[in-house]
Amino acid sequence: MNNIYGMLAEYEDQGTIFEGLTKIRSLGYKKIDIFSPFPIHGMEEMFMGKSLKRQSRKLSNTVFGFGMVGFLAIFGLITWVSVFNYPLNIGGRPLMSFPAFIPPMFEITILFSGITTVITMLYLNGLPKWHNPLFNSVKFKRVTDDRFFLLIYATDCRFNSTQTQIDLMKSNALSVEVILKD
Amino acid sequence: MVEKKIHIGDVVFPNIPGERDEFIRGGVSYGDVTNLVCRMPELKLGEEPKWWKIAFGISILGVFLFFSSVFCVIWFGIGMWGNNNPVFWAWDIVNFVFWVGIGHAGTLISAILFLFRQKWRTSINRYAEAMTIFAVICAACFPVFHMGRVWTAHFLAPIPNQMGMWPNFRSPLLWDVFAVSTYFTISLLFWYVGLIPDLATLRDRAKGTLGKKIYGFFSLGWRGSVKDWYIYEKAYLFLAALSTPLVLSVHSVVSFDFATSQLSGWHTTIFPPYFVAGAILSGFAMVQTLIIPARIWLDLKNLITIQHIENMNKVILLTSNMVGYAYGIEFFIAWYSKDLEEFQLFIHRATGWYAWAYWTMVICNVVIPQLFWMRRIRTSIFLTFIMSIAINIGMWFERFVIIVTSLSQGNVPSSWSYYSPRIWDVFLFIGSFGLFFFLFLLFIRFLPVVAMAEVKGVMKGGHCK
Repeated sequence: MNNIYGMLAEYEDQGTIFEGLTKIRSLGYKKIDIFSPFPIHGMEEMFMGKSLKRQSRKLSNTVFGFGMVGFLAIFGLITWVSVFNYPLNIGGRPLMSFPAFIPPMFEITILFSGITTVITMLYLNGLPKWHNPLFNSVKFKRVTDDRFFLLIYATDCRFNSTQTQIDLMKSNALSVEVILKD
Repeated sequence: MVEKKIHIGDVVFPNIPGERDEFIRGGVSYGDVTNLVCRMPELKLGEEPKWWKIAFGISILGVFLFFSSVFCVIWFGIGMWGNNNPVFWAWDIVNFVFWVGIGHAGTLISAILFLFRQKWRTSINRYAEAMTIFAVICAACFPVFHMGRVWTAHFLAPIPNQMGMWPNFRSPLLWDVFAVSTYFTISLLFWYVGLIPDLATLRDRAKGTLGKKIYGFFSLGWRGSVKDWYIYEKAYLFLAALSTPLVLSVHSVVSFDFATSQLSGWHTTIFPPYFVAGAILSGFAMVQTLIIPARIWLDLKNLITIQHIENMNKVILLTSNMVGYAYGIEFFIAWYSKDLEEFQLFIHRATGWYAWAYWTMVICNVVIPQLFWMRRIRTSIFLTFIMSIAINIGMWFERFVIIVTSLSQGNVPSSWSYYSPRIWDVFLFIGSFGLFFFLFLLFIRFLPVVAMAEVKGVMKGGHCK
C-alpha cells in the first residue's frame, strides 16, 4: 500500500473525462489530477479554483516585479553613465536627455519581464523534472497524443486500491492502472 | 484518363461566416494530427525524402559561401565590398533591414494574432516563429561584419572595460543593439515555450535512445496536467503581450537609424510606421514562399489549408496598401514642405540613377499585390507563390532605394557618387540565404513544424463546455 503513487484512469476524449471527473468528485475524492494533450478550458476553474488563482497571481506579480527591476536597473545605468561617469558634451545639449533613453529602457524592461515569465512558469510547474512515476506507465505516453488521464493520488483519504479501481471503472474509463512509486 | 484529385485542404469553401471556423479539414482526429506532424522528425537518419536532401545539399553550399565571404571580409576588411564615399551604408545595411523585416511576420502571427484570438494562427505560428529566429540570426551578421573589426564587437554592449569607456546611449545604433538582441532572445523563448508540449510528444513517441534522450531533455519532463496547462497558457499570454509592443518597437528602432539623421529622404517622421508595415508585408510574403512548398511536401494540406493562405494574403494586401500610402505621402511631404533638397532627392529617386530600382519597388510592393483584391487570385496557390517572391524582391529594393539613393545623392552635389555592389556583396547575401535555409531545413527535419497541442485545442470539440 505504501509504495503506490496513485491510480490512473484513461479516457477517450474531453467529454468522457469531464463526466468521469464529475462522478469521481461526487464520490468524495479530493486529490485528483487531470492530464491532457492540450488545455481543456473550463476544467481548471472547476476543481482547482483558488489555488490556481493564487499561482497565477504569483506569476503576474513576479513578472511585474522583475520587469520593474529591469526598468530601474537600466535607467540607473544609463543615467549614471551618461550624466556622471562618462558625460559626452554634444553641442551643449543636456546630459540628462531622457527621451533618448527610452528605447533601451523599453527593450531591457521587456527582456527582464520575458525571461522572468519563462523561469517563473517553469518554477511554478515544477519543471524541469525529468522523471516522474507516471512516466513508468506505457499507456501514459499517449497523454501527449490523443488520450486524457485522471489520476487519484494514493494520499487521498478515500483511496483504497480495490474500491478506487471499481469507482474509476464505473466512470467510463477505458482502462485503469496502478502507478507505483519509484 | 485519370481524373485529377483535388485535395480537401485545397478546396475553396464559399465565404460563409459560420463555416470559417473549420481550419482543420479532412476529418482528421487528434491522433492523425500527431502522426502527420511527427512523420518527418521520426524518420531515421538518411531516410529523408529526396527534396529535403537536394535542398539541404544546396543550402550547405550556401553556408560554405557565407563563411568564405565572411572570412574574406574579416581578413581583407570591408574594402572588399562596393561601399564608397558617400555610400558608406549599402548592401550590408540593406540586407540587415531586409532580414530583420522578414522576422516580423513570425512574431505578428504568434503574438498579435494570439491577442486578437485568431485561431487560424495555430497551424502556421510555429513555422513562422522559426522563420523569425533564423531571419534575425542572418540579419545580425550584417551589421556585425560591417563593423570591420568584429573582435571589438563587445564594445557595443555596456560592459565595464579598462579604458573606462561607455557606449553612447543616445545613439540609435546602440538602440538597435538593444532592440535586436532583445527581440532575438524573446522570440527564442516564445518559440521554445511553445515547443515544450510538442517536444514531449516526440519524447513519448521516440523509438531510439538518442531521440528519447534529446527530446526528453528539452521537453523538461512535461506532463500536461491541468495546473501545468493553466500556468503555461498564462505565461504564453504574457509572452504574447510582451512581444507585441516589442515587435513594433524593433523595426521602429531600425527606422530611427535613418530618421534621426539629417539626410534628405531619411529625416522623416513617417519612418517608424512605414517600416513596420513594410516589415510585416515582407515577412508574410516570406511565410507564403516557405509554407506553400512545405504544406505539399510535408503532406500538411489538411492542417495548413487554402483558408490560411487566403487569410495571409489579406494581411499582405492590407500592409501593401499601407506601404503604398507611405510612398505617396513621402512624395507629397517632400513637395509640400518646400524643402528643395528633399524634393530634388525624391525626383532623383523616381527619375534618376536608381529609377529602375524605385519602379521595381513600386510595382512589386504596391501594384502587384492589388491583384489580391480578387478572391480567385487570393485562393490560387500557384499565383500566391509567384507573387510572394515578387514582394520579397520588391521589399529588398525598398531598402535599397531608401539607403542607397539618399546616400549617393546627398545634400552636397559635389560629393555625389554612383554605387554598385562588388561580387563579395552578392556572395554574402546569397550566403545568408544559404544559412537561413540550412537552419530552416534542420528545423523541418527534427522539430514539429505545426504546433500540435495548439491545433488540437482549436479543433472541433476542443472545449468541454
